[in-house]
Amino acid sequence: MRARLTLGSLEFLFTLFLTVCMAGMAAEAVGFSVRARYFPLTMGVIGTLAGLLSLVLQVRRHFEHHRGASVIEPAAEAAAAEESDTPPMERVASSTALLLGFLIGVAIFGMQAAALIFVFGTQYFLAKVGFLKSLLATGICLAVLLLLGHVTSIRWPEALLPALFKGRF
Amino acid sequence: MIESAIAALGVVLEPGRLVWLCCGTAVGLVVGFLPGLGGVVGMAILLPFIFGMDPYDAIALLIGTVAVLHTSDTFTSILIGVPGTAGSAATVVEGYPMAQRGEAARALSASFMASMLGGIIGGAGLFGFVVIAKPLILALGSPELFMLSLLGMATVGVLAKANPAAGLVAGAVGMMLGSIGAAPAAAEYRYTFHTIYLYDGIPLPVLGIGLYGIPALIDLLSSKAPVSQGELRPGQTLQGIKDVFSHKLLVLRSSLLGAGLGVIPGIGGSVVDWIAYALAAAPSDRANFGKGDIRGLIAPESANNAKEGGSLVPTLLFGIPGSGTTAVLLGGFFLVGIEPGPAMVGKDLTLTLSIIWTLTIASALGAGCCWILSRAASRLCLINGTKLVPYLFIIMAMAAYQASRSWGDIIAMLALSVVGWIMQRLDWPRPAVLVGFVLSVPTERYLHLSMGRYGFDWLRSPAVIAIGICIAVLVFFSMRAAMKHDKDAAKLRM
Repeated sequence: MRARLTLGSLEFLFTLFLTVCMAGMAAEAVGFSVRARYFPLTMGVIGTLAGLLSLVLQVRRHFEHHRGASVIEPAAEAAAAEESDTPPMERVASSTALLLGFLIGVAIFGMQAAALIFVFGTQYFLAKVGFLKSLLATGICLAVLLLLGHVTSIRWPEALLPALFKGRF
Repeated sequence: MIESAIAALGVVLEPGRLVWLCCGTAVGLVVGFLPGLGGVVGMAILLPFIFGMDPYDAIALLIGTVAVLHTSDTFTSILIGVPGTAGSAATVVEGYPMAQRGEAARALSASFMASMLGGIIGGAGLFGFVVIAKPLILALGSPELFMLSLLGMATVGVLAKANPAAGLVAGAVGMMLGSIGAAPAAAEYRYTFHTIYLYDGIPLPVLGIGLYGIPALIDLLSSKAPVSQGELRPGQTLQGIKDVFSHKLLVLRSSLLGAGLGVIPGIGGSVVDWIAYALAAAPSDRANFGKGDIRGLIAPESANNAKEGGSLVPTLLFGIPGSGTTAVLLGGFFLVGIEPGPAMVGKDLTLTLSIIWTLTIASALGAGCCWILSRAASRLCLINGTKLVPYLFIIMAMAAYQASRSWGDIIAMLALSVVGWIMQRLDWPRPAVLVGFVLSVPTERYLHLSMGRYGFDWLRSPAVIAIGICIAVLVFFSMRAAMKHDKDAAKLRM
């Protein structure tokens, strides 16, 4: 029950956020020139009205829930059905942190070096693959990245850190 | 027409183009095979690589991917009971029990044959529609096309979920995201907040990867489990092919149904799947359904591949994508200079016919590859998420960065992935955002043209009024159905 209500609250807050954004964008559109105004103003108004309608329906469900004629929020209902398949928030947070860590690594060391550390680290420490296999997987990954970059002229995200110190040493 | 069709076939069969077709088919097979990734992610990954490509090569790559997405997702549906994409959910109901009783090879074989025939019939349906659609399409002006764009967005929004208002909000959010950057009809920048990155707007690959790719990876990594579990059992391949040909009328009926429903924007693979499954046999003849009846497997598999041909009709001829995948495909067309719309049955007819040929060839190729690769490919599903995710994330980050080669791409991808993850958790329709985003440019252009040519008089056109009534009726009945669903749920709990 707690998870359902939490998801219901999340849906309400998310809808409210989007509705405020839509209303704000519609309000800003009024200041555009006539030719640039039509479309965002129309869509902003449609989005705001749809958002308000969604909020009203969610509030209605909430009150019916408290009156005893409990109605499950559609989002909560759908999510609850998959509750057993949904990973816990702690794991989601740690997974997100890991992916963010890689991107921070890219910003500091550059793509190839960060990919090397990321692939080896996840394979060896997280997936518990043996040292040699992890090393091999990392080597193959790096080779594919270099080959791909060479063949398709892909540009990698540039490391921001060296740029900061450029010219200082 | 016949000359154009033969010329288009010649274009498609050029050796270099066939290589791109094979590459697209391979990507589609892998993406369809991995549960949770889906077509949008596969297409979004491909988009950055088609910049500057020859339009026909790009078509071979993209259509090759689209054509086989619902072929390879059959592996996981049948072997493990995990639908690879939403469009293969009905396959699980009959396919998995068949695998449990040792008939996995028969089920796989029948599915691939049904998928191949469905894809070919869908391609033929698209060809037929191009022939008859020409006068109809050419009669449509910018006001009607504007209203059709709104209809497409509304359909995708309200049919995608039990909460239609959320679908409409999602569609509007997509439209507003699409209006960030330079205004097409005026020398003015909108919603850029003086950020240089936003002057060109948010790139489509970044939106696709953020909304779909990263949330899927986070869940896969968090579950710390293999993508799926199960084993492939060989044998009975020929029996599956015989099954399909002994139910040829069912294949034809389901394929035509899939192609027909695919024409309607918003009718996703999952809906087509279940309708075909429901109509696979008369109610009195369904005693074995749910226990591994081959008819319940053949019908959805034929329909979901045929749907791809049908869904290309509104995408190519009206510029209205019917699903998230075709929305990204439409974006890909824009990137290589192909402008879907009435010209596709006029001066660009050869291009349209080459798409049909590509779709048909890729369907046959995909099914053939699945037969050959079935045993080896099934092992991919057994790889733990923690092993797979690092590679996928590197590919996605790299693909997102190629959009404008700026760190803004990565930051935008992360911000959109938060939105995508919340929408996934709340079961909000993410395709509506994508469809709205892709439609924003043509919709704004049609609105601008309508206002410029006719002022507000275009609102009095009978076709515009008719489409407007369709939108109103659609939204009204969807809202009413959602409210009835709420009341029924309340009664059940009282």
